[in-house]
Amino acid sequence: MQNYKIDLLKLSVQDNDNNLKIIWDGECISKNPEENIGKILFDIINNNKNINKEVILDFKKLTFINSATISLIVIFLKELRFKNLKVKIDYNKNYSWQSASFRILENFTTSLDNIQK
Amino acid sequence: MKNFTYKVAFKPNWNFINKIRKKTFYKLKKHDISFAEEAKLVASELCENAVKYSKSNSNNNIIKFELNKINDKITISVCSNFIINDDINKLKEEIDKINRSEEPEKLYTDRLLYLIENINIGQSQLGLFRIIYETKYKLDYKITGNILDVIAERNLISVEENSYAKL
Repeated sequence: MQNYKIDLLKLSVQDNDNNLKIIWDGECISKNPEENIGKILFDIINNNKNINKEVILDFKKLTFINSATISLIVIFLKELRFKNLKVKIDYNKNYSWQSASFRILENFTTSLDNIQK
Repeated sequence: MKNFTYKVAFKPNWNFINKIRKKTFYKLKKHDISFAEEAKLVASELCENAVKYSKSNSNNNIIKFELNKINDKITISVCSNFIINDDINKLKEEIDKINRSEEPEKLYTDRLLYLIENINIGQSQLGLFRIIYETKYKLDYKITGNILDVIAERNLISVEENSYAKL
């Protein structure tokens, strides 16, 4: 497992047999998340040419996310889809804020299928 | 919950926003955690917008944040001095558009789709769309010259009636 620390966020990457799981723990409060979180996420995908498995974005341990990071995740989801990688958004439906923030991203992954590169 | 007012003025410093997030959450968590989470999101998004668009090199430029609970109403306002009039107009147009819409989810989804075709994460203005979709707050604004005061307001209703908590 690889761990990364960005401000109040810890990102952990688990390369499992059937999936690549990215665990988000803490708070996403970066002003320019594309410069730190984004770099890590895109490096994980672009530096691993053999990725041919489901990518799970696990937000269950996240306690806050700002809209700049949501914007980044949307761009990242688009990249995953262009690479024909299956994506799963995992969040805690018992937390009202997580349901509100991530349900729409979960639905959004399907609408990305209709967008041309 | 008793009436209260929390006011703070700060220079356009990104790191200070985290203090406001924490304070807002702390002030409201006794009422209901979901309600406090919602207010934290609103306070955060409005302050982030204010810092992004404020005159950061002026020594006397400050952002004024105010959280009020008066009777059955919660008001969060963020007042800042914008550097470019175009930015004020853009935000004004977004708030007007949001207030005209009766479908906040569609508005938010459309914004996400627009975003992936027009990548500019720093200027996404997704925060305002998030507020209206994820919370029960209504947005308004006052403009005086280069000063923009964005106001978010909601009624304080019982937890059982709070649809945000049921999502």
